Amino acid sequence: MSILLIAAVCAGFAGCDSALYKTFHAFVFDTELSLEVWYRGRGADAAFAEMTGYMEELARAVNRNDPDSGVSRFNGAAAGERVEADGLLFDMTAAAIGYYEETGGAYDVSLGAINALWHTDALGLAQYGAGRGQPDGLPGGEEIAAALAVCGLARAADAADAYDRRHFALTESDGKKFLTKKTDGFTLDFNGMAKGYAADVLRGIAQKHGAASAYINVAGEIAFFGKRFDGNLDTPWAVAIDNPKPGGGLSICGFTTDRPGLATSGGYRRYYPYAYPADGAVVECCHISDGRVGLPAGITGSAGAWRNDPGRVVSATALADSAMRADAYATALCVMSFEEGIAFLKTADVEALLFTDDGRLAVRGAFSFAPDFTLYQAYERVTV
Amino acid sequence: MKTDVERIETVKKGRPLKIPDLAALLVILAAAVLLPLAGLGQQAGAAVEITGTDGETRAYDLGTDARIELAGLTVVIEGGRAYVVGAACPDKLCEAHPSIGRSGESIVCLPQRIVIKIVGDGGQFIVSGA
Repeated sequence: MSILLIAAVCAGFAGCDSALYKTFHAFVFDTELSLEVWYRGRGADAAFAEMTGYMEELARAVNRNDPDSGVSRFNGAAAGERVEADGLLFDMTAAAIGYYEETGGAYDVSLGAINALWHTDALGLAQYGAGRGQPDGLPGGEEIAAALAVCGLARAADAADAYDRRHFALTESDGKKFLTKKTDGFTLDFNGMAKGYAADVLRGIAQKHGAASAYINVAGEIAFFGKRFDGNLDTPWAVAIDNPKPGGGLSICGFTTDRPGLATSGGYRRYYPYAYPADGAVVECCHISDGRVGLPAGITGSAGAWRNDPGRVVSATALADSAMRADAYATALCVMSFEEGIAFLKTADVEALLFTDDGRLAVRGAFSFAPDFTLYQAYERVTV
Repeated sequence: MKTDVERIETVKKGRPLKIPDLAALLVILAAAVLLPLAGLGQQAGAAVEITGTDGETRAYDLGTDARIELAGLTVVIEGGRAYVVGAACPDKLCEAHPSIGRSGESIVCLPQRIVIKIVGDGGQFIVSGA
């Protein structure tokens, strides 16, 4: 079963949101992702049921943990094989290509070989994360080049159309859609992108069933519908951003927003530290990878002497017209350097906050910061 | 004996603030500014409810920093938020979960059947970060 329902509660605490919203919690994608919905208005039960059904449908298409899903069949295929892709898989692949192009390759859903090489995939982080030992060593140039050779959504050199990519192609024939693999070992992973995609669809379901206001959180990717009702008035949604500093549980800033999509990306607690035996120098390898160079985000240097860039972006929050776009941009902004991120933000339709490890903050948009959280004030602010 | 009118006139003519009065006033003003910041948005009455593997639920004050050691993980309460560190299970999803501080928010460790939930008048901020 791909969905585990934890609680579906109509809570009655006085004086808080729980009294005003019906809430729904579940674990989806074989419990890998948490789903939380706050719903105000008529039709909540029917909406929750439809949301559950939709998440099962989405998992059948793109859950990499399900060996029978469309994406798993594609990942297991050999070069030259064609896999029928239902609408969801086809649409998400097309969207991923779009975000890859928009972000200059910083957003890439095909980095399975890089993540496995660096042990920054789910398996590696489970083994080494949070101080539970470390690998025997970090990869060198040849290993990285070999992994990069089977990664990336780059367009084919002699592309017939925008969906003709170097390692795969999206095609349609006789009314059916297909993914054709060109390179052995090339894989796609939508478990991250599916969060924002699902949040947007679930928001549409809430709207269809008559919600006056809803908050949908799929494992950290957030979609809002309407405004937050505080018991008397409709108000903007209030959001706080977790402090990216390890061990810091305090929020770094808070603000209100009317944007429908929100996502925050960063290393946060999903990384492992590697200490070089020779000199004890520590480099943190986070779960976000830079497919342009084959390294975990924020790492620079060379084989045998990898180090963290002190100016790396450790937390990127994006607010956009959809949760999927916000997720893609937030991830890409963690991959880009601070300067690249600022240049990107000058052209993109997005509001954003970028925090670097060395104390800089880039602000794009008119943020209304809440006085409750003040840590961000210590950062050197750049307005984009 | 002075009449009330005379007393009022005496007060009116006196120095409005002496140095000790001014110092006390500054302390009060500083506290008025700093204390809400120290509170970081948490609201009175919020609690962290932890239901452990034994099925029992225990409540902890969200406004009091603490480390709660459970079998298999540690719940940290800090600055009006709660989060998980040191999970012994293989997937560590609860460690990756953003901190929680709003009423109704929860972190669930499925392998160990531990549920951490905010109840009461928790803050109104949705927390993002993963």
